[in-house]
Amino acid sequence: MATFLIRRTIGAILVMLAVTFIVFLIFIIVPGGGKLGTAQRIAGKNATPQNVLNIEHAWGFDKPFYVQYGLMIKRMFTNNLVSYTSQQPVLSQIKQGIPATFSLTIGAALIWVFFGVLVGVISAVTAGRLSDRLITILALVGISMPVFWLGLVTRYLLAEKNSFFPDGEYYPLTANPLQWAYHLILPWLVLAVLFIGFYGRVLRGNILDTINEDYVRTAKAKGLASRRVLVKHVLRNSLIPIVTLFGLDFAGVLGGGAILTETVFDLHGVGQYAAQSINNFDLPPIMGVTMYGAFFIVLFSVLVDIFYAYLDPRIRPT
Amino acid sequence: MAERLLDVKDLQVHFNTEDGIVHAVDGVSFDLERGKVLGIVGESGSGKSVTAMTLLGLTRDVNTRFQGEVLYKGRDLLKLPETAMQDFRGNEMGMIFQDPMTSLNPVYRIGNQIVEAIRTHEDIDKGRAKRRAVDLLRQVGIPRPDVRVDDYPHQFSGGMRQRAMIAMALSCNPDVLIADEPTTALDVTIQAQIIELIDRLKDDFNSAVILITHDLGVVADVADEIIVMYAGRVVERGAKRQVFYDPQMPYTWGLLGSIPRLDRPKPKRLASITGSPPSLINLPRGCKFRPRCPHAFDKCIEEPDLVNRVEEPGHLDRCWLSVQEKRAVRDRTIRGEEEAA
Repeated sequence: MATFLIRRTIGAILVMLAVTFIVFLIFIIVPGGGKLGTAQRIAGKNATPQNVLNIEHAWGFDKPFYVQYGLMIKRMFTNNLVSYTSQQPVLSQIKQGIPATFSLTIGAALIWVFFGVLVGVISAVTAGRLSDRLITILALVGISMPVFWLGLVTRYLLAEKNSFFPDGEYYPLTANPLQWAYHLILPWLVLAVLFIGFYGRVLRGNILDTINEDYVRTAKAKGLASRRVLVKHVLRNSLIPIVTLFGLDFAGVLGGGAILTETVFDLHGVGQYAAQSINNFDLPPIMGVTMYGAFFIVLFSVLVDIFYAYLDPRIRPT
Repeated sequence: MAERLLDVKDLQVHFNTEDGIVHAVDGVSFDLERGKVLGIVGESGSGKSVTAMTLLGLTRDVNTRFQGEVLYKGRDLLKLPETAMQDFRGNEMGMIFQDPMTSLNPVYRIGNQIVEAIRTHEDIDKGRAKRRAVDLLRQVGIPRPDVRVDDYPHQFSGGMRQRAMIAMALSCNPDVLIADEPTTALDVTIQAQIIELIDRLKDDFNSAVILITHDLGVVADVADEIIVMYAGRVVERGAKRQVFYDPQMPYTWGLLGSIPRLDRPKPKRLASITGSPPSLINLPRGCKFRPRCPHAFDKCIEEPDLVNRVEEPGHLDRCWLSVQEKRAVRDRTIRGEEEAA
């Protein structure tokens, strides 16, 4: 197990290195435009010619590409990545967004996992009957509804037209947990709807596959009660593929992937920070958020691998 | 006379499907006494597995229809509610399946799966259940059972997994052990060991065995009585000696002919039964084996009953040919000479 962990960690670090290189390629090399053009892009829309010259020098755009890469890495890891448009260091901006993003992700994930599993189990157990058909339709509706549309409509109907819920913005957990949850209910539900439908469909399929496995027949032949067969033998095995799905989705939202939800509800999370930066053609924050998001994806794929080994002894390293 | 454990009377199992009604089992009767081994032989789709699963109530479904009786110690299992059936499964009747590679849950330890079976039916603590699991594994011939009890199924070989399945099926000391093609997925060298093991444990556990197979060779050693099934029906039934040495049904001849023999001159090619089993939705009229039977004649358009036609009682068959005719043509059919001629 220890060697597995070490190997997997080294692998993750290498992937992160590759990500930095790809970020470098995408943001600095590929767009081209010569050293001044590159500096201009980094500097943002309203930079003075002197600013652009300074940036060209500071980022080393007049030097060979490996020097530029080295300088970019150094800048990222020494907390010197700065948005020239807003004059704010990127890292502190991301840090400011983390409470909102984490709150949104964790709450929504709890909701979508709980209801996704519930929906999947109910529709698999009643497969082919009316409840299954209804759930299937609802799930497809949930999957098909664009988050920005659903978010805007619910916000308009429930927060603006009628004041059932607060109208957007994040409320710090430490200040008042009740207000925190109250502010987040709508974003949680809106973000979860898509995942509930999707997880429900995937789980339904997995359960229907697993239910025909020979070991499920063995479990029945042992005389287990049907509920125990369903939970211990069918569900336990059907959930294994869901873990991968969940790890990556969770990491994606944690890494600022819920750009639309955060923006629609004005949560000031990392995703919204990314959206604003894209709007302003502000490259350094986008680079920073890309790295931040990639970090969570890589981290959670390692965690998923470890958890997978726990769930399925066949792939457990010996 | 030994205690009669099972008495199946005119069992019918029909599945309603979108394509029509599948007559999976159509009028099967047999009985089983303690200490005996009943062999059920037939091709795929002959209804032997459905019969076995029905004994345990595993074919119950909204689209399944049952008729007849399955009397276990006098109680009709077909009429038991599902919850009562759960107490019964594994406890009074244990079952082992064809493919040991897929019949154990890959994510639980072997020992835990046996413990689960024990604790479903008996109120004992985990430690005692586990010690019993170790004992069971020892009885089925798993080396170092105290260590291997904590292995996962993928750490066992196919033969060991089937032994573990047998240990699990016997864990609550059932009176009837149903083995559904227990050796089909195993190496030939392991097959005989598993059959011997089942036969020995039957005596140790003082139970009866239903051994289902498509291979007459498998039941040749251990079965006391054999029923041959075709298209959901019993087509021949008798003591092992009668079925092997005086087979009355051309279908049985075909099965006997398909066993490769080393003690006879090598045939040009291994005999086989031509054609394939009939669809269980649209069964042929009359004798169900008629379309594939080399000896079919006019009378076969009517279905023969399963009755005693030979001198010895207890040996039943469904064939219109006279006993003399059968004995005259039988050996050539078994050797596959009709085709060559």
